[in-house]
Amino acid sequence: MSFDAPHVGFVLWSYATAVFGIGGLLLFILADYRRQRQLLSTLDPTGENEPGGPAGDMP
Amino acid sequence: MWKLANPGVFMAYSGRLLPWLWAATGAVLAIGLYQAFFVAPTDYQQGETVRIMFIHVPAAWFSMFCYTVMATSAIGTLVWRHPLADVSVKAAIPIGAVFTAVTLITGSLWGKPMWGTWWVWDARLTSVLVLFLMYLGLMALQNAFDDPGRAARVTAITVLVGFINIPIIKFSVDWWYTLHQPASVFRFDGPTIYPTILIPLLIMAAGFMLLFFALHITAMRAEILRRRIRKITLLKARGSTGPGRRTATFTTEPAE
Repeated sequence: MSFDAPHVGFVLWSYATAVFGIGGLLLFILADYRRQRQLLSTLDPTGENEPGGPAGDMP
Repeated sequence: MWKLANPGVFMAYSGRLLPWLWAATGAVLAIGLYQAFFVAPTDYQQGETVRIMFIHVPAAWFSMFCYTVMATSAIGTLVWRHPLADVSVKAAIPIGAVFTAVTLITGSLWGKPMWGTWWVWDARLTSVLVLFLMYLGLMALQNAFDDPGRAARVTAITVLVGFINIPIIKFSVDWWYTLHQPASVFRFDGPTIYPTILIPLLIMAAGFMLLFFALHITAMRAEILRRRIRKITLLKARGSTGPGRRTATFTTEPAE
């Protein structure tokens, strides 16, 4: 790729959009997942409600 | 398949699969980006701007694929009331919205140097904008109901009604005269793109596919945990927890 060619700025902005857009989404999803795990470990520290736990497998 | 579609089994299997999926996503995208920037030749008409295609086209494909996954899951919600189906729909909506936004913005950045305009109200561009607005609407709809079961059913019906837009997007360039070019890869007479550009495009598409599944599975896991937390919180609020008593079963909405 030649960086002094015409319209290279459009190419770089396009990739920056994808990196920030999808990267932001990735960070959001990972942060949400981590937050839910932390909340669950606070609410259910013994894992009683985990699948496979004493209450988690009750019908 | 049905056994795997149990939330507990899904959490167990997806937990083992995800690290490999993320590693494969990173590797394939790295190869694809290298090919896109350093192997693919400059187009004789478009010059360097052809490289926008390697991000714009996969984003467009998977914005539509994401909606197709949602429509399939919506059938699961309405017909079988499967707990994972609604989780799948809800987890996919923001992913589809971001992929569609990336499609629209990169398309606009490609259109300005090639067409001389950022935007035209032609059938392809407008139908993709409608898809983006549908994703935003579905996000709002999901949160518009207090009853999660009702939210799941209404969202599923809306997703299925909105699926009509997917073939419109795909065939808009054939049905109407548009500034957007017609299909160049998925054609009955084969791709019209030269292999030196087609191969990097397909590698990037494979990377986007892996990325979509990695994001979707992670978001589904977060949603399952959120529903489990909600269930435990509700049961605790009702005072049904206590030593030696049954607490919460591992269920997800829309079962309640």
